[in-house]
Amino acid sequence: MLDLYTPGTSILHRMTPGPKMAALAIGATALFLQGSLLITAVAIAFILSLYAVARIPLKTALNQIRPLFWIFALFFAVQWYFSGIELAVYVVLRLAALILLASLVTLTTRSSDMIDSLTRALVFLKPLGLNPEKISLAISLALRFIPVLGRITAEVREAQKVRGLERSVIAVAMPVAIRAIKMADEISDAIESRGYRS
Amino acid sequence: MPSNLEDIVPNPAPLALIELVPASRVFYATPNSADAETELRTGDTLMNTKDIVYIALFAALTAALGLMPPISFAGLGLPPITAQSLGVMLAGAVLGAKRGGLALLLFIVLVAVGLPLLAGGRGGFGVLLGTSGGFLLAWPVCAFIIGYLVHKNADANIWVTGGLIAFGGILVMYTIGIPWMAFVGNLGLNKALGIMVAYVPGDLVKVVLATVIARGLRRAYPNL
Repeated sequence: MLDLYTPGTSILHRMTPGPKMAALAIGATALFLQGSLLITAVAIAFILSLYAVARIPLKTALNQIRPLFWIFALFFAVQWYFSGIELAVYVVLRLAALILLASLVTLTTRSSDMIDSLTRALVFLKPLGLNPEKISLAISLALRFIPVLGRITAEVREAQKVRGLERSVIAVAMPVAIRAIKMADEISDAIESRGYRS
Repeated sequence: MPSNLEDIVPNPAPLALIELVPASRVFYATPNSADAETELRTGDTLMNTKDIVYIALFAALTAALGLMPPISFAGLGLPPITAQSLGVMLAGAVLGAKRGGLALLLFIVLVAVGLPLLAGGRGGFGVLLGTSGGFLLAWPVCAFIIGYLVHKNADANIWVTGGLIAFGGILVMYTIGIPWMAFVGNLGLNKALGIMVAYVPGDLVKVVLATVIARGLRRAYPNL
């Protein structure tokens, strides 16, 4: 499965997703509740040491925040201009800590494990009328549909190219939407005819 | 010429055989009666198979829209304009409140568990907690509100439908996303508001597209 997971055998990789998610929730809340630059800096150092424990190279860690570099720069500039450099450093460090911590969970947990835990956790929702099996079905269908939609779009675009319409958004989007709905109808009939109970 | 079933099948043996199969294992031929039977038996009227497939389809559609190259401006200083919020508007306008909201909820869950489904291959918890996280978490809410409003005014003309989609897809989304951005970035509401004005033109284009496509789909499939 296409995913952001980085393989490894460290203790962080072997932990089940549940405790990691709980730790992330607590950590993120704590980062927001405190207002001190020193604690934030210590937190960053601690989170980077967790990356070392997970044996994830520093470069991978930095790759997580690199797409946000310009946002950091913008926030830094705005804060510096309006509130002084200390607050600017604090805000950007806090944001970096948050993203590094969250990425660590993502990097050390397989998406499939996360989905499994989620499905198990949702068993508690059964009395409320939510069926975990339906959720797994929806998840696997959604992941399968993504490449299929890409293929349908490519086909429709080819067909409209013949008519010289490949640049018209509506001329492409409308047939794609109708074909996608038709496909969904056929798939749901196929699922039911194989005896799946919703 | 035999006129009823007993004349054709005088022996009731096949019927007796069917009774050996537990009632819960008997499937019914037509999809509609199967739905009704299943719902009666499990007390589950929440969703039938078709609803689940539609929810998955629109979650996938939102992900697929992320494959279109995002338009970046202001030197990448801001979250790029992506086609993905078109998925939010379409899910609401086409599927209605409940299914539309659940489709986007499913999408956000898939992002949260670490799949790189957001434009530019982003994903994971980091994005949801970051500066644009409020907009992402607003998506299910927006799809729900759009679905509720559009379906309540199903006979409205194209301008009203467009207005309702704009209300849910722009106003509601910004109302949730901007304070979040202001809070996470410690920015102050006015500054965050100023930044977001740059996104309004792109979002208006998406409203027009969503309105036209949703109305076309409704015409093609009146009882979607």
